[in-house]
Amino acid sequence: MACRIRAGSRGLYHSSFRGALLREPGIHNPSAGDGLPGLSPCQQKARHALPWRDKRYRAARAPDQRDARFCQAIWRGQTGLVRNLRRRNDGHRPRKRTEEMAVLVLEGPVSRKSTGTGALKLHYNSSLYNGTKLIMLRSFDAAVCPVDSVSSQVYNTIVKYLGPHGPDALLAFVIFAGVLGAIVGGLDPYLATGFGIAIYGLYIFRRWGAERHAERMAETEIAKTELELQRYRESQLLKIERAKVKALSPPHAGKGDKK
Amino acid sequence: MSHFSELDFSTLVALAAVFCALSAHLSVKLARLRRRTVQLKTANDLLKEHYTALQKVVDHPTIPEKYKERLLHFSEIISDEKAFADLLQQVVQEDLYRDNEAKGYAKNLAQLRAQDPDLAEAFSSAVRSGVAAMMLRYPSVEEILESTMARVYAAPRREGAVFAGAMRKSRSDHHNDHDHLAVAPA
Repeated sequence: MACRIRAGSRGLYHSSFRGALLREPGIHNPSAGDGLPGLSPCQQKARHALPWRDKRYRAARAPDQRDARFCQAIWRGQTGLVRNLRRRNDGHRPRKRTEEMAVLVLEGPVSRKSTGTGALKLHYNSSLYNGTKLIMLRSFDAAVCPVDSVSSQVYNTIVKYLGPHGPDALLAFVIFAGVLGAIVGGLDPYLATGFGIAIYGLYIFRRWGAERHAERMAETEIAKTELELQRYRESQLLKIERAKVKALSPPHAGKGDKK
Repeated sequence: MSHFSELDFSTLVALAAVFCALSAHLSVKLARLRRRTVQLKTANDLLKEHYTALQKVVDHPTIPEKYKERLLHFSEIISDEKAFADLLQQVVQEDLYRDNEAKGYAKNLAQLRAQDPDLAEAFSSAVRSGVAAMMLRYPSVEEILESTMARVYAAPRREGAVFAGAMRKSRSDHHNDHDHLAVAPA
């Protein structure tokens, strides 16, 4: 469990400075063996910026090489979602857009009127005792109808009357009828079929991308919540363990030392 | 029109069949993706509910430490995919709700409900929403979820059974012999 906490904390604060902890010992990194953060000779002045208390703490908990590899393996073994969250997204317009969209999807039509995360929190607090059914239904609605646009309304209407595969089947039928009409009209059959397949392929490609993206966004959101929960749980368990150790330590130990 | 009359009818039928098969296959794949997305979003909502309820219980000033600790360990156990899958298998296969721990859970929850109904509800909600979230979160437990678990979990006694299984797992993991939430029946 200790290693898990360490791996978790590395995941949360994996700055370049802490990354130096895992470097191999060498001429440019002489302090790697003693478990202290390895800095290059030109960065040695920066070591003074590290308080002695922090240095001692790091030395005490620095892993050996095997442990480091293990923690690295855990870090690499993650799905990559949490790592992606830590990336800068200033210049990543599609990602920013989709994150905004995800917030809209998660908040849904009820709390979209109010702004900020407070509204979201309030919603979850108020629905805490209403059972899981309400949340499940609401989440399903939000997923089926993410945006109140005309196209989504049309899509939902088709789903309502023709079932979940209705839109795809309808489009396939329309394209097939169009191809047949074109052939009857005098177009080369192979060319018409090729056009039909190309249009349908383009639709499927776009749709596949959108669905994959929605799934990835949902994975990212749940990874965020899991990380938050894990941090809270570990901090609370640590508090409890500390309280237990404090209760177990002899009450007059301090006085004896003073004497 | 001339092209149409020249076209081999069997070729046209074959093309249409391939087109329909491809379309059906892709449509099923897309529907599966969409379903998974809905599952993940629901799991996220339930996980948030679990988190809120957990915070409410743990941050409550009057709740005993052992309740807090057991609930935190329970949350830890269900967050581990393999441990959770084992736990569900155990709950489905064994009659864990006849276990002393499960009976103790029900008894303690009733006591808590008599003292503070809100807190007891938060405790119960943390257990229920946590289990439901993880059922949807992990694809490996999908079979259990779809076959039996959803129906079985509807029985109120199963909540205690899941809790008892998690506590048993927690004890075997941590090798601790602390007093646990369960109270042996008289």
